[in-house]
Amino acid sequence: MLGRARLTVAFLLLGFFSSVAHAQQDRTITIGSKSFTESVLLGELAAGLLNAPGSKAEHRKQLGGTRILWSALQRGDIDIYPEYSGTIAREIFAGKQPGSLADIRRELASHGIGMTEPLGFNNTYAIAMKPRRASDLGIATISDLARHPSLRLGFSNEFMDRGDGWPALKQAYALPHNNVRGLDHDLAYRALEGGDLDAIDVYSTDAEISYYGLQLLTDDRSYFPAYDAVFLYRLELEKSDPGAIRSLRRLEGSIDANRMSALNRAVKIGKQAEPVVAAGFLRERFDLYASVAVDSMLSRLMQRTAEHLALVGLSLLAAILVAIPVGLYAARRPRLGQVLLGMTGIAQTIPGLALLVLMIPLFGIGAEPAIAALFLYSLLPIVRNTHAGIVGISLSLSESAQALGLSRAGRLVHIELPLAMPSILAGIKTAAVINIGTATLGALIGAGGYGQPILTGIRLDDMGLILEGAVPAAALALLAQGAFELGERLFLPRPLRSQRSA
Amino acid sequence: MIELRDIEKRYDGRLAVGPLDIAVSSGGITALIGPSGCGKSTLLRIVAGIIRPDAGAVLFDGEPFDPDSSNADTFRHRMGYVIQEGGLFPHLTARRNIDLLARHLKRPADDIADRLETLRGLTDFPRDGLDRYPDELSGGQRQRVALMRALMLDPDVLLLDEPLGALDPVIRYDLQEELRSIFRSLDKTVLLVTHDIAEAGFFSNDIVLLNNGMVAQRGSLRDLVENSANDFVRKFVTASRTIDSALEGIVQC
Repeated sequence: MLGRARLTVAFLLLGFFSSVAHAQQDRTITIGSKSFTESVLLGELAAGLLNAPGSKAEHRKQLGGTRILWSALQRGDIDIYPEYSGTIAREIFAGKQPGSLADIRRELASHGIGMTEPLGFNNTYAIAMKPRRASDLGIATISDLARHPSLRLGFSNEFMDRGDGWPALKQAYALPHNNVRGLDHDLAYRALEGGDLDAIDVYSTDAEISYYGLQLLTDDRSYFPAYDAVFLYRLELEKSDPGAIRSLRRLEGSIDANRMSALNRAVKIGKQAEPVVAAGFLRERFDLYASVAVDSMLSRLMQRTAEHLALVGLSLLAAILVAIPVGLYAARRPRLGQVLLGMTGIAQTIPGLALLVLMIPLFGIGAEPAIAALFLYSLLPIVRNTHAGIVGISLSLSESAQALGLSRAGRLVHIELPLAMPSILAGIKTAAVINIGTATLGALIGAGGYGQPILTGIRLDDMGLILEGAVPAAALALLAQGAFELGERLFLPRPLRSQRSA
Repeated sequence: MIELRDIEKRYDGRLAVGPLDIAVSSGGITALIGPSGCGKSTLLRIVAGIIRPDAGAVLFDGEPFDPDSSNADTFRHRMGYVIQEGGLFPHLTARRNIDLLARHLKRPADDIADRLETLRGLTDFPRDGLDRYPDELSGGQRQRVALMRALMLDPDVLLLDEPLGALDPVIRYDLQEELRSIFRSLDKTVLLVTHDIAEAGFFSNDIVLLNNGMVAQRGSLRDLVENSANDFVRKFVTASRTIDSALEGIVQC
């Protein structure tokens, strides 16, 4: 079932993304980054260095967290991404806990992955509080937190469940706190500033630390390891494109902690675009003059609309082609029908983000896994409404059709499908509207669309950017709703139209 | 023409119809009648091939009609079937309801148009009604459309299940007259289900009175009234109140 669905989706995608496949044959190097500013900046720097004459680099920004990037790198969806040594040791190889950089390098090599030397700064995790609150409570170290079990802690979602995150920290310091919330890292600063939280996790190079004047608690038990920034890359690049690796390694030892903080600050506080900040650094440090193309809002909007429509359109089309026959079959075989309805119902209960991540091992990152996930989401409303539409046909009508001597196919085409059509259309409409909203999550795994500016907007605390994604997404949902109602009026025979559109 | 042989139909293990044998001769009008639940509609649906009997066989001109066989639709095309309220498809206009099957079978368009015009004349149906949807037609008009649909392929047999059951009395009275003259002009084998003994007698000299899925008596209305086979028949034929007896009742009060 899944295999066939996958095949169907893959087939549909074939035509659409053949251009992407071609680009990959020309050996474009793909750089990934996680969805926080420093990672995006490092990705931009790598892209700027690699985008020299004779080689081409593409940066797929803010692809979510460690697990998504790591599996994308292993699958070859991306070739390079910035990572931190502590994260590799404690999170990626949590079971083995390699200690030294040499151990890490050996472990990575066994997965076909290479690592540059450290870039020059250690971006460790730290726990931050407002200095006023800390001094009031007499807190200076992480150990001191244990004396105040009622403090409200807020940690980034990744920190909440990482091998080197909250569970292990709680154990290492015997912290008693129960009032712990997981939230987006960029929102955590605002919650701390607003007084909704007492302590949060931060990266030591975060621009906000100095901006908000936060106090970092001393890691008195030396719990956090070093998080030296490095680039991970696929080892095969050393053979296929040694020049690219040489370019990448120019960044080794070139950025100290102060410099990284300043770059982060330029983006987050100074509100400059990452490509601009990255280009500035490359010019200053390497005398490299990269042209920075900043798209106009209109061209950005056009591109995202195209991406979003492709996500929604392809997944919905595939869902219609699969769900209507399944619904018809379920109506004909009541017992098996319950099983089929149950199965599509289960797909619906999986949270959107989880479903997206579940698709990555099958489809990698980008539009394909997002389309597959949206396809699964769209099945239930269409299957259920098709089933309900057919089952709801009155006995006298189905008997009349049978007594008339119409063939089975004839009854389906002339009687059953037309009579069930209002219900089927309503199901498709529901699926489309849900789909348009859910597709914004696709940006987390590199699918683009209206989710992209929303994600960036949350990261940069930029309401304008959030609206740049949210408003068109809402407008598209309304437009879809209107289009279906118009279609109902145009294509359904008058007696079958709903009262509202009559 | 139609022969029901040793027919039995059970619901939840209980025998609802049969065992019974009924033969209907070609060109005649036979009325199936009886109280609610006597199995008259079930029997008609067995003949139409909508319900499969648990035992016995339906024969058309001696050929067994199996509703699940691959040629079942050829049998069905030789029958027209009309039910209460007409069973018209609400999403199709009157015209499409009538010619749906003929078009599906790819009959020539000219033939379809000619046949439609003939039937329209026969049933006295207004031309502008053809492009209306069923819910835009009156109850009597809907029955005419249902009748035209049943007659479209010029079948040998016409099966009617309470065709006038949902109409108000005046329209029903007029349509009874019309329907009888249509039957007479068509020369088809007609099997008609009704619960109204007067209507049965009005249409047919061959009334089959059913009780608990078995034939209680078969004969003309006069036979049933004057030579009732048992108490049930006597009670059934005298149960309907006439205007005269109703008036008598008022005077006596």
